[in-house]
Amino acid sequence: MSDLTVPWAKARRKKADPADIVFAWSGIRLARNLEGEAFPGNSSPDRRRAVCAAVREALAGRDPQWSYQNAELLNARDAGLLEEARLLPGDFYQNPQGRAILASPGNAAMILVNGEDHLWIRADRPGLALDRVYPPLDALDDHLSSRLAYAFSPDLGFLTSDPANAGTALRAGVFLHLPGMMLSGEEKILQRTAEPLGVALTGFHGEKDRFPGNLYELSNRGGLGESEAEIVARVTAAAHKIAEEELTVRADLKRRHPERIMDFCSRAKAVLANAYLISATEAMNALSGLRLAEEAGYAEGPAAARNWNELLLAVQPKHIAAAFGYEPSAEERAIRRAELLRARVAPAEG
Amino acid sequence: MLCQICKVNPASIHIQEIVNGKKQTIHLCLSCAGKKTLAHAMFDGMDLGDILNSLEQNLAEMGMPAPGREDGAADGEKKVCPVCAWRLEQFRETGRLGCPACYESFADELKNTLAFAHRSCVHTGKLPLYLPQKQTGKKLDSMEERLGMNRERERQIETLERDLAESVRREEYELAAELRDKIESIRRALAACQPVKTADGDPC
Repeated sequence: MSDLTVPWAKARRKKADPADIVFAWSGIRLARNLEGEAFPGNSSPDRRRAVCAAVREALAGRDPQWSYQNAELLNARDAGLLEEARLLPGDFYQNPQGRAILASPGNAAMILVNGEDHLWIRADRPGLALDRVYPPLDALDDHLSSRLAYAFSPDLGFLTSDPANAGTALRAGVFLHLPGMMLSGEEKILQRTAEPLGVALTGFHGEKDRFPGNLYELSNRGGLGESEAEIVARVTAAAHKIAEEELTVRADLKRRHPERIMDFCSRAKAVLANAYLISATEAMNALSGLRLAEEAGYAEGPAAARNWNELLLAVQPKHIAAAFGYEPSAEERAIRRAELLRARVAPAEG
Repeated sequence: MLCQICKVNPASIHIQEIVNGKKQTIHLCLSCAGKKTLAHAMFDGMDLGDILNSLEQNLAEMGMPAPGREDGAADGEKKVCPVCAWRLEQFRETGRLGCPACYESFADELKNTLAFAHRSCVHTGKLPLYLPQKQTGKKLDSMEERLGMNRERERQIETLERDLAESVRREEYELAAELRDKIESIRRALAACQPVKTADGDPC
């Protein structure tokens, strides 16, 4: 794949709202299928290749700058990097026959053909930007829907391979950095807050019970009974609500339990400055500590100027391995990761 | 002990439920338990399909046949989508459907799944520009045709309003509340699709 840019890891513009420090990145995915075609999980590689060709043709002429990548010709290294950046689902490359990736310049919008559904149209941006991400996706979807007969029912909306996605088939997700919730032991309250807001919380790797780096992805559940605009507004409002709670909890901790924050931050700083072997999870957690330290004023550092999303991605195993030119051992990766962190983020005072 | 639903296979799963405030234990065979609880399990992040499969494996290792799956599989399990040949059993195992027509083929079985996963059962979002009719597409390019879609929704509202009046008359208030919500969501969809008059009076 010629362009491996990760749109959510690009540098952010200056933040205006204090709650912005909590938002890491956000994105939207629309799932679409073609009428009269079996879903990809039930169709032959040849039928899937025909779907790839139809999608490619439908897009041709709209924007000639879009790139087309046959998944069968994608190399394992690039696929790994895209997977780690969450631009490709985990199983996409494992069975690449009849699958393709269409991407606009800088991967600002991508269409994955024949993953779980015929089309997954997606876009991500740093910060909380769902309301800006949706309109161009909507326009792209309109363009495609004027050329492709989508599988659609007036009652059930866009029909998807997983019935839980039917309806708008829109999934809006926001990544939040919530170290305050972890330090105050409020994770349970967090789940209780999320439930009535109709949103689900998952970790960076999609798990429901582990949140490395204190990162939480908040996303909508269900796509029937709400319009696209309502889902975007609801998820945005839920993200704001949780961000406000996080800031309240941080202020409360700073006032009543400053040792908890200071301990977490100091340990993180010490790890980043002194580790010679560090795993991806430990690195994510230490980065969370340094970020909190800088944001809370416990460490000198350009918290606002740092690109935390890019750092988070840079410490992931396949991103570390990509620099080697061969498949490094886990220990070699851990050594390289520690070097990278000492060079790029270790605070001077340790 | 025999399964309380099919009364044929031995019960191998025992489920406790609270019904009207009272605790009840239900004894089921693997096949009937799958039908009863799969829809719940899928959305609680628990893969009951896996659990049932491993139970079956355990039984097989002990030299016991898996009840209800060999010859006793209920008719529902054998249901197949006539368009793509996807089996209902495959949906139960994977949570995925085989083709768009599966939504009709397994409409009854999907009711619970959809109710668990979504806020309501009516689409209130956008419409594609090209509305499929069977396998050939029909382009919804004129406002006239888009309004045709709205007329369909208006007809739906009329029918639902009749049902609502009837349910109120019968004092079935829970059903009435559901119908009212459904009407409300269709009305919102309708409002979202009305043509907007520009200054010239042309629809845009």
